[in-house]
Amino acid sequence: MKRQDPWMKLVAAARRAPAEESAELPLGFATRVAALGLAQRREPADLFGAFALRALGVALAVLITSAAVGFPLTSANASENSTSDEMDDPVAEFVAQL
Amino acid sequence: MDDQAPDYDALLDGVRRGDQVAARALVEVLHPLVRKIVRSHLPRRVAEEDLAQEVYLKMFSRLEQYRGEMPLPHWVSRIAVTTCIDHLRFQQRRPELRWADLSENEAEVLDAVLSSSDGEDATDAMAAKELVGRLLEQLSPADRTVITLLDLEQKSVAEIRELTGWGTSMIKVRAFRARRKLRKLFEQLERKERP
Repeated sequence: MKRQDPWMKLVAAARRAPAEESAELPLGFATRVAALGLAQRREPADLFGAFALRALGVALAVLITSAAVGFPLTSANASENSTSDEMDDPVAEFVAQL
Repeated sequence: MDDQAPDYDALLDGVRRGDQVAARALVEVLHPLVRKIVRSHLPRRVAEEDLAQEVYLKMFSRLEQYRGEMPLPHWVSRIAVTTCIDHLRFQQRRPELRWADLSENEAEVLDAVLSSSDGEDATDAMAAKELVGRLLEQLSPADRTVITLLDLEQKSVAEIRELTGWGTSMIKVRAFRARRKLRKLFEQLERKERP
């Protein structure tokens, strides 16, 4: 005769154990969890709302200002550099002398 | 009144508007389901109430992700199952189960199930439940979840799929692996440990 799987015998016995106590909610549990859950839902939105738009505005202002101030300087430097590069190129000067 | 199915849409609308009464009602309505999952997958040294609270807080924080593609209880049950599995992962696995670690009642139950007789009716159901818990602690969290749902709670593979969101083949593979491990544990206890 084939021996019955001990695991199956064991779980069959375990299933006969009486169900544990009722599903009563602990006193105040639902109220506390609901309050925490709602507070948690509000917090990220409030923080984001408070800081994100301001941060975006500041970032855009910095970007535009730095572009406006920096571009003429950068382009002027670039043209100066290109001229000085031409003048200071020793190889070009050497080749020109040949 | 209690026989009526809860109006989840109305409760969800209320929660989205920040209505405290709706949020509390949602917790109350879902509690039997969450409690059952948490209780059957509760790791050692974790309070049932704390774990249930974590499930509800996750539910509230992820509510915007719920699109109504499945019934709300299924969605919440998946959150509950994954929360339990996360906690079980953090739990250190118990050292190898030894006969000497068992209580007198557990040892009797183990002796009865290892014997070839069909005397399981005489075994102590509470001790059997304790012993099942000890054996399940030897499994990986996901395998433990599957075998608990399948063998202890006698859920079908389709029901487990709904509860966990795992595919059929994954559930079957986990169940196969878990049963193989349990069989080895029984063999080991019988050959090496049985007094």
